[in-house]
Amino acid sequence: MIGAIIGLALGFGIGILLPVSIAGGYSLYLSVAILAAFDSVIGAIRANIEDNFDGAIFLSGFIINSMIAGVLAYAGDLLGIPLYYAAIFAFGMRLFNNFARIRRDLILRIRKEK
Amino acid sequence: MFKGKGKTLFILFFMLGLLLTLEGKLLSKGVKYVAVENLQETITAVEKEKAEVEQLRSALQTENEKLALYGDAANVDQHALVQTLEARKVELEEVINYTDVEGPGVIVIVDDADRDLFQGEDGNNVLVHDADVGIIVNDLRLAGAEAISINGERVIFNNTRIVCVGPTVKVNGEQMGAPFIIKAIGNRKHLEAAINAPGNYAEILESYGLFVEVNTSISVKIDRYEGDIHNEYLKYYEAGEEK
Repeated sequence: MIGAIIGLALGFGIGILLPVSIAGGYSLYLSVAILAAFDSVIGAIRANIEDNFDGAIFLSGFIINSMIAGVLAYAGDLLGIPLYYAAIFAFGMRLFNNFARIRRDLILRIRKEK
Repeated sequence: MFKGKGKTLFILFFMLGLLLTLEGKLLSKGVKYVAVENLQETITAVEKEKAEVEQLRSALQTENEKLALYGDAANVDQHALVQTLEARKVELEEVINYTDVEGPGVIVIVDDADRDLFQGEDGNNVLVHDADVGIIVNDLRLAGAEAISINGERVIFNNTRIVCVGPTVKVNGEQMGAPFIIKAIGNRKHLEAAINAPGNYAEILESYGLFVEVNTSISVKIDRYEGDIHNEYLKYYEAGEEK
């Protein structure tokens, strides 16, 4: 957990300090990629709570899901259909599922401690 | 420093933070998302705006030059300012035919036929009609006439109406009968040919027995337009304004 907080702070810091910025045209793709990233992170937290965490799966999921979401949004733009909806639905649903499972796990854990 | 789980979590959150800050930076710049399908439209719109700005700039420059001209005249001499404006007035009056003009040209005389009618022939055949006058005026204009008058009434492009009024013709609201003396200023040879050349409208008139004569002159005097120029519908707009 400490590693996660330090990592987030470091990511923010380096992101602000780095003189890199993304061109305005790619903001949608970046947004979808962030959604995918959120999904992976919440999934990782859930797995951490449930004690079936697998680093390789989550790291690869994070990177590849983000990339696929961005590429899907771009391809949809080229084709003229809003394909990024697919990414939004898929990752949005998984986000809710993961949150629901985290909530349930926490409630069960608290009950057990009592 | 971290092992296994911790390390992975660290990397995950690090990348998440990086992505979030990038997005935040992007949003704080106030950029607007444009889909690829609308990209071309947006580019065109931007180009158009740029062209408009350029046009407005050049308009501003001309206005500034004008202002400088008047400003100088006012500072140096009130008299000079009056002169500038007078010159401008004369210039504008020339454009709208409000000045008497003089120059080389032709004088065309068109008159009713003096022959007797055949038995049963329509009397219209021997009269000069509004359309005949109109076509001759148009022929002269096509031949490069710079000023035209009919019986002393200046023909101006947008306000002269040549109207049929029974056996007579109304020009600029003045009723007049044959003969019609049409004066035109321009290249004498061209104007003469506009009437005299074989196959022209005057030849048709002559075949009906009507009297058509062209005289060239070194100096034709044409009076100014006397009426008002009254526009009910058109509006003026400044260059660069929305049309």
